Amino acid sequence: VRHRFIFGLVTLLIIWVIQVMMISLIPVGWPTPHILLLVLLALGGRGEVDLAQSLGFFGGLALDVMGVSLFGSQGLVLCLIGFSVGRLARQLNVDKVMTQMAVTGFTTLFFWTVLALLDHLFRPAAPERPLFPDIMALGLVYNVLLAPVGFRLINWWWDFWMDIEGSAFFRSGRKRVG
Amino acid sequence: MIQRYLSSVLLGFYALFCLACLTWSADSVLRPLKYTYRYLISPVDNTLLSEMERWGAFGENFSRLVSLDIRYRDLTSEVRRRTFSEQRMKTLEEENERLARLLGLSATPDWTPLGARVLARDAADWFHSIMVDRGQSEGVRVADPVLTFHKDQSVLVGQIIEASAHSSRVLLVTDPFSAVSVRVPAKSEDGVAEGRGLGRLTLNYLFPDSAVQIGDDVMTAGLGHIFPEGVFVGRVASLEDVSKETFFRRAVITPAVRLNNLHEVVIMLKKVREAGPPHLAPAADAPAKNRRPR
Repeated sequence: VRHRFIFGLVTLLIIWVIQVMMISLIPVGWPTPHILLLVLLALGGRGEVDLAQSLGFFGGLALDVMGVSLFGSQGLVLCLIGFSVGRLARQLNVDKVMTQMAVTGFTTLFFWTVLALLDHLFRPAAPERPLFPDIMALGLVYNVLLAPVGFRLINWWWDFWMDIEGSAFFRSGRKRVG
Repeated sequence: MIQRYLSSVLLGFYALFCLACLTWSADSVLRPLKYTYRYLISPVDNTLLSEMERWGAFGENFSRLVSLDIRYRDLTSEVRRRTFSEQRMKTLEEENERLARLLGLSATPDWTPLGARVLARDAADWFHSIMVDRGQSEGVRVADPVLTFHKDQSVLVGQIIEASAHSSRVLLVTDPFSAVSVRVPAKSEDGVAEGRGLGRLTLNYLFPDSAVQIGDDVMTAGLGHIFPEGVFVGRVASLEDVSKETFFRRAVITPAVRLNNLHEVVIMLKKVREAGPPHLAPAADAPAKNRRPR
């Protein structure tokens, strides 16, 4: 549990740094790839339900705090996505590149739809937010194209941590606890 | 037993927490948390951005050094010319104020510029906003307009939507929530510029026979004194046909500056100047006690 907690914390910090750096490079108003979503999908695809949904929850809340979206909206949607993909990991078999792209495309659309729905439900005083198909299509393409790279990177990152877990540092820690 | 259902329990807890936050409008309750979070991340954002700026500007610095001397000479003569213009403007402003007071016109806002540095941008692309390092302690208030300067011209950036003690969030003009009353000075036509994402705006409510053309400059109209009048918004990039639903024409505006390159902005602090009572002839609708007895 401690190992996964540290893994989640470090991963969240890295995602945050990448997201901040990325939004500084891409012009305002242009869509940005949703790094956190890709990470959730990759972890969920490995069957890590708890890790994926926890990362979605805390990462989503962090995005809510950083941005103007309603507090809790991104946390809820990303947590649901993490849980669902984690639970369906066996049936989905996200080792195939095409499956990775399809799952990413579907969840991106789901993310936007639910976010728009929550905005509509819980921000009644605000004017209706118009949807721009060109921006959404570009965002979808970004996410789908980045999906195979994201999945591969996360798999590598996971294996790297598993190696560390097996190293002397963690083994000695366990012995001391025991 | 708990281990078996841990995932579902966790999901239930997370979902309930989020729904509770959404239902009870946790945004307002959690505002101090938002500000604390921003305060904590601001230096990191700032360091990242300044590092990127430093490395990105490395190539430009050399050519800048060469052209600096030429620019200095130009500026020296420009300053002399502007000093004279400023003097003249001050005299005209005083005259304008005096005449407005004589006519008993309504109060006009007095804008005080306040420089600010951009700290961060919105993490998600759902909203288009930036965070700046000036807040309520410096006099910044919600709805204050934010400008920048490009080629010696003031350009509209957006409007303050959240102001904490030492930082504020600016909603950019390209955000779909943004709407600004604008004017096309070349054609003397008014409209409303609304954000439409992808770094563009839409100029709405133009008449079907509108003479607005591609390349026309679009300025703020200053209606309602929300934004100062005559601030450059952008240029008409394309014209759309008359809408069958609204019977109005629309035009697409390209903003005057690239909003992703903003590093410094100017917040215009609004101070409403009280108009004095009429000193000479009372207006036709003035109260009876102000009128001269016949």
